[in-house]
Amino acid sequence: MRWNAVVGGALVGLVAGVAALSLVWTPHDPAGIDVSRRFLPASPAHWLGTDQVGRDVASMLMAGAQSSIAVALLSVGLGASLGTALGLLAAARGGWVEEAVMRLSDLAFAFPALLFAIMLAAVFGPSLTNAVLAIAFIMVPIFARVSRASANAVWAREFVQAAIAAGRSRLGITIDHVLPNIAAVLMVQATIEFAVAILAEAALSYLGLGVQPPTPSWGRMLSEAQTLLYLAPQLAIWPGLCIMVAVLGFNLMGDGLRDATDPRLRGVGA
Amino acid sequence: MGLFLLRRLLTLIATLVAVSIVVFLVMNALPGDPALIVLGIDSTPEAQAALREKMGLNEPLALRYLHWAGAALTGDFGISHSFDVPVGRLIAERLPLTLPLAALATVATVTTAIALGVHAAARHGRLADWGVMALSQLGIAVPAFWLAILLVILFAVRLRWLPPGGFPGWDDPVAALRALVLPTVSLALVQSAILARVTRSSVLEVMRLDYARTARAKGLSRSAILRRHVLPNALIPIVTIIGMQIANLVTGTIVIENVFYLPGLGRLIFQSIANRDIFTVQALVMLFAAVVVVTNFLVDVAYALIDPRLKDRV
Amino acid sequence: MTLVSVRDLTIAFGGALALRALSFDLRRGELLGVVGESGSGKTLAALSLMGMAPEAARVSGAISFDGERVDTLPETGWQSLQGRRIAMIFQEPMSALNPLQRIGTQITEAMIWHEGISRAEADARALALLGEVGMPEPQARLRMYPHQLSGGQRQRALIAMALACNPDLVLADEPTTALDATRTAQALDLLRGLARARGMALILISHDLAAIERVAERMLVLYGGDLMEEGPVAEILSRPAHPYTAGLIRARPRPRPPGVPRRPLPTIPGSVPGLADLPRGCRFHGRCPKGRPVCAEGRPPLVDIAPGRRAACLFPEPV
Ligand SMILES: Nc1ncnc2c1ncn2[C@@H]1O[C@H](COP(=O)(O)OP(=O)(O)O)[C@@H](O)[C@H]1O
Ligand code: SF4
Ligand SMILES: [Mg+2]
Repeated sequence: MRWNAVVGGALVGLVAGVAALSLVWTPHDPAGIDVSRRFLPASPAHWLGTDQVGRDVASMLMAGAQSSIAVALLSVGLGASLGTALGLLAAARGGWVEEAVMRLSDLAFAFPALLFAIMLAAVFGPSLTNAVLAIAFIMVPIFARVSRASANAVWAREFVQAAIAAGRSRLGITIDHVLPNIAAVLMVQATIEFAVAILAEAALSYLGLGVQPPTPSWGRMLSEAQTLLYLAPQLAIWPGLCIMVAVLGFNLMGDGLRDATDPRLRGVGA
Repeated sequence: MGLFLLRRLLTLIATLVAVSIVVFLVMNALPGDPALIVLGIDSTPEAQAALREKMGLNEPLALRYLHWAGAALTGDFGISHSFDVPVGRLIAERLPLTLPLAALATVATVTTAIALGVHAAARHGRLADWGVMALSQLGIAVPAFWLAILLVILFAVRLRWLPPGGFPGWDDPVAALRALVLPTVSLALVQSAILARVTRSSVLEVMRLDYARTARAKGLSRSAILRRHVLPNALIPIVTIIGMQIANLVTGTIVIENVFYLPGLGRLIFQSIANRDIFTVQALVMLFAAVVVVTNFLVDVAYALIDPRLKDRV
Repeated sequence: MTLVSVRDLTIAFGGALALRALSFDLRRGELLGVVGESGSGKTLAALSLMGMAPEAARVSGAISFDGERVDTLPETGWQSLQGRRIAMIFQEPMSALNPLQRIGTQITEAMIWHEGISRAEADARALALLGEVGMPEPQARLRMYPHQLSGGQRQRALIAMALACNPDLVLADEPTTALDATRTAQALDLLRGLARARGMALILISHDLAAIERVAERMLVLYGGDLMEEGPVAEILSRPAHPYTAGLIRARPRPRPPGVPRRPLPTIPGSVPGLADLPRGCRFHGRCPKGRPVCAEGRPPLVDIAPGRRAACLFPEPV
């Protein structure tokens, strides 16, 4: 086992564990406002102190992990499914279908998640759903390309050629042979895109285009803390640290998984 | 070469047209009446009808697209209903901030990243290499806006060396540049972490190739081999990433301008969303997307300049 | 007069020995062939003579060039020999050339680097060189990029590059693997002719005995990092002393007269073991038809078996 997979896995486990725990328990109500307890320093009762309206920072961070993981799961799941379906279709059909899928994914690259989220927010108003859709949208072309390229390599292999000769349908071959053979590549990609999604969610929530109050989110905690930098700079430290740990975890885990599945890249560390 | 450029130019134009159609459709044809969006649901039907007329919303969609795209080509993006001035003027006013910021961040990113990446590759497996890799792994995981906040805490709140935000305008160039230091650093640091990794692995890859060994067999010094043979070849994947990063830096300005309260295009987008100023948002989204597309085009041209093999291909 | 003298050159990767105490001499202007199956250590030996052994390698022994110890030189010391007095022609003509630089630039680079001559002078010399190596339309080729040249032309460009500073020694490591039979013969004749004309020593590395026969006067036979046999090419080919050499000769593909049916080529039984699995005594033990238990006990010494001939076998063929 490579060290990056181990460290990454541990960090991811920590964040996911905290998110799961926050579903059933947090030290305090993360939304519990109590202005008499504003700006408390760290103490056994409030591990990381309280914020400008007396909410427990540690509890908010725990609940924030939940938002991060949920948004990442939904958007990567959505984007990966759609993108992979398109990529598999492109590889299975070839010809103009493949060309069309590739040109469409070229086109989609012109819209970074932020731009897409801005468009959706301008039309529908800012919401969590729009943030998820916007992040999923940037995942589609990425997964379409990766799955098409790997699927094409599988289609060229002998056992697939044999299956074609035996008269199997393209759909049947795709499900029985292509998908299992590209699953590892897709897993690696999904892990890395998880990190991208967490960063994107944080940025969108920071800008007010993502998770809406009162749901806690690391990005929004940062935008609130930013107005209090002279008064309580510590409030701006913790949420960012959480984002960093989560992103680092998924990146390291993705690197580790890639090293494990593609030994050619070992040590190059692209 | 000429044929390659021509083909690429045609693709560029086709992509820009396609992007403009997507932007227009999302902003105009999705469920939701632009007039309603602008005025809010509690507005009177008469006001909505009047605005619809004024915005030309009663024409067929295709015709409206042609009007919009045709006018946009001449720099006319319509009137911002919240500022009541031409959108083009709004953009022109903010460009002197966003453009230098993006340019500074790009230059800072590319120079830092290539210097660090090459340094790490040249000391492959040693402490410097390890340090650069660890730092860049961290840098990739840091959200740019959080880094910006940390820099403000350190350099503006604690040390008071630099302003925490705002922009005094270019009348006082020193003050203007001082105001852009932290935004530039926050944008560039994260992107250069990514680019440094790519540079390092690309240089390492090329150093392993046969022609690098040929260069060594000529008796060239390490730095000459790096400069003349390795770096130019390693540049090809680096340029690809630089292209993607310029896109990131340009959209990154949207976020960073909000962190530092800089009156640029990024702030304008958010003001326009808040004001439901759909023409302005539409124009800005189109502008940012166009920058991304044109950057990709320039990257392809750069390839052809670096790599003679492409010039002969059509 | 001795140009190169190698003594007990030993190269280890971890615990495995890729070269075991290799010793040989090379006279000025001599044409030496080095033959052996893939993995026998030919490239490592050549790279050591260039001061370019892989970083992972532990190297010991002594190498002298033109009367001076060079194996102890620092990197910058080697740099003044590389490309100037010792040059190397690598195996793969496509990948050995920088794809982004014109052929002319790549040929003149070493001249300008080592001799500090002007661009114009270097260009003139490169043009003459390309003519010498038989490049068609040399003037136009100078301005071309590697991808615009055919395989044979690239190989000629590489030869011209190696000759740029008129070196005393050229190492050619399997220079013709990418070429067809006709071009292989042309390139080999060219190398031999150039070396002769310039009084330049040449070490031709090949797994192909025909190439060695065409070019070299004297040859070394390497197997598993050991020097197995050494002597004049014609003598060794007609009467090999070492069973490994005899096996190589038997396994040579021979031109078949028309009408004669193809027969399966005799090969040396077994395959080359990996470095770590080589027998400790005679490296050939286990594949050798004449091997006996005693062969595994220690490394057979390299002994004189005839004037100018040495072999490392306990039971050599009589010569
Ligand atoms: N950088 C290296 N690391 C580890 N082993 C190596 C390295 N280079 C060569 N070797 C080993 O040394 C042996 C000799 O290699 P080489 O000189 O390339 O053989 P040849 O040129 O005769 O085919 C091989 O077994 C090879 O695996
Ligand atoms: S020493 Fe023994 S094993 Fe080695 S070549 Fe001679 S006979 Fe064969
Ligand atoms: Mg070799």
